[in-house]
Amino acid sequence: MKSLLPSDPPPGPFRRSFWRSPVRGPWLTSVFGLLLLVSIPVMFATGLLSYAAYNPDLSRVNDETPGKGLLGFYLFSWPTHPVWLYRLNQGVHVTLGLVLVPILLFKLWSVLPKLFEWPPLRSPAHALERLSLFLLVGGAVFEFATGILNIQTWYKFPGSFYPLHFYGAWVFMAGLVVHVALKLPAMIRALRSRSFIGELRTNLARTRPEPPEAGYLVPVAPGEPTISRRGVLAFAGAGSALIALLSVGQSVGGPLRWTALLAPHGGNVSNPDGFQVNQTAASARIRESETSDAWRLTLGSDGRGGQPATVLSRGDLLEMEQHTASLPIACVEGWSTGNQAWTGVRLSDLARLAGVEHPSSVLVKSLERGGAFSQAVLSAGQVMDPDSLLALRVNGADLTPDHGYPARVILPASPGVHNTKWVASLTFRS
Amino acid sequence: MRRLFPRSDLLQQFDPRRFLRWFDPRRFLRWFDPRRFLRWFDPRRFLRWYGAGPLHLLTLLGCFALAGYASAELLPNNAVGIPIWFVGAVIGHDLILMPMYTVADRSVMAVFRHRRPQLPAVPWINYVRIPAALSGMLLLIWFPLIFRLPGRFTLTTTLSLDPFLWHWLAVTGALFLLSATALAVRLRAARGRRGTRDGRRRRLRVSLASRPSRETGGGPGHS
Repeated sequence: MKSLLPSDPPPGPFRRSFWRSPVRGPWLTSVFGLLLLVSIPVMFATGLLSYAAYNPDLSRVNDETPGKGLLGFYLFSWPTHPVWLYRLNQGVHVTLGLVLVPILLFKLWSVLPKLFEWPPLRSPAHALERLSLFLLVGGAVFEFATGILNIQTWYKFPGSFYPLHFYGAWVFMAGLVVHVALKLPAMIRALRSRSFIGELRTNLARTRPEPPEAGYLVPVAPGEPTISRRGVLAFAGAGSALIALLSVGQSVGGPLRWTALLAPHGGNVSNPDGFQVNQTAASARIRESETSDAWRLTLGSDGRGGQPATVLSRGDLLEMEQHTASLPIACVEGWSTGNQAWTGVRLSDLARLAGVEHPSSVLVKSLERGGAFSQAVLSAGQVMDPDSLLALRVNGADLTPDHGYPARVILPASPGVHNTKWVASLTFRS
Repeated sequence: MRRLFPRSDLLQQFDPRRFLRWFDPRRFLRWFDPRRFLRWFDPRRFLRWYGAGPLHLLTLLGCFALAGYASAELLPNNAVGIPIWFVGAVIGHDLILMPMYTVADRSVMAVFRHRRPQLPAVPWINYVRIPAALSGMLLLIWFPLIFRLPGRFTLTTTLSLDPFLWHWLAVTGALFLLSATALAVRLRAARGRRGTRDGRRRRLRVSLASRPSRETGGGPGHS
């Protein structure tokens, strides 16, 4: 490379004198790096847990990424308690992701001069490292972009959200692990080079550039500072706090729901039940004729000792023993409802009625035709949990069509889309 | 030979002994020194060429193995669109978004640079830059909702897309209002401070006024 390129950088950003910000430097970069180093693993872990919550190993029906191979090594049967488990997991994943946007932008701003290093490739090692940085930055922006667009239901990314966000996360992680391995010593050194408390006490008048270093961060010809380092941290922190204030309410609920002014499922609920709808009957193309008195539930059994299917009307179901469970609906998109009082028949009672005393799983099918989540397979633990219901009523009234009338599944601690609405059949496997 | 063709240089060039020398095993072994080739496999020499330690190489190979394994499943989803998104993500941030906000920031400062005497004696640029940047971040995240782009949103969720633009404008307005209030408070405090200083330390102030003061924010705004 050396022989191909002039040793002097061309004019423009490749010259170090182009970069003037006096607050850029290893210490500031390392503070943002440390914040991301703590938060991105939380994002990754909650993302992997969210994937596990679909029980993808139980059935192809649940699996949006059947080719995952070794990347699904950690999967386990998703628990049903505490009931707010998925709500918490997804609220953290989505809200933390939004809050990290300013931190990520500031981190990338602080290291931008390195994009214009000269010579661009010093050695094969340097070339490989820069390629891994492409995975890191490309992967990070890809993950944030797909996630942020998905929660706004604007599906403009190139493919289905689940495989893109799942495999994209692994590509991002590959870049991140190598970046952390190579840069951790430099980060620790930089953080030790200045006192954090000392920086918080340093106002603009006393702000000086960090001492010159071999890297590209500290400017060789710094301009006059217009903001202190503590000012930059406060700037980023204010961005995160503002984004949190305007969105966290859609996950936490309560009075905060009214501050969620910029979140897809904030304060304005206009449907009669008073809590959020993920997919209306109209958008699922459920016809009224299918949900009228003519509606029947088919209880089937699959495997040894199966008996012929049982067919029940809504009246038959209402005559069975009714139970009430207080459960939230929590969407993969991060929003959730508070606990609602769901009333209906226990799934375990229906399994017994179908002649399967100890089901290993149940296939739930909706009246909805097509659609990725018109059916779901639930695990033995989910079927046998006393809070798992085929709900007929909510908060003392019949379900509305948008919430799944005539009957819907409601499960504790499960992703929202597994609470299948407009249920047509339940097929238990022994 | 030479006696037969005394003037021929040609035959001399093709002296068979020269070629026969190639088959001299000692000469051949001197040329084919196995160490010469083994040197290429000498790890020290390789690492000197590579430019970093063996752990560096191992870490990176591990990284690319994992990324390759995941990409083998990722790319079939859209072998054209996904690479475009990855490259677009880097270009979009590093070469479009970041230069745009840098130019905007410097433009605002440059516009006011020529009005130096009227400018307040506090780092006023932050009172413009911070509300503008926060509003911009909100727009960057929520532009699909703000510009009503998700076509099926109302049909699927029963929620209206109309409020989001007004929410964003209201938050932006509130940010600038808050910022203006903070600036006003700070200006008042600065004026007050200058007043007391005038009374007590007039001589010092005169001597300070002759050089540029860092207290005032350094940027184009200082008086």
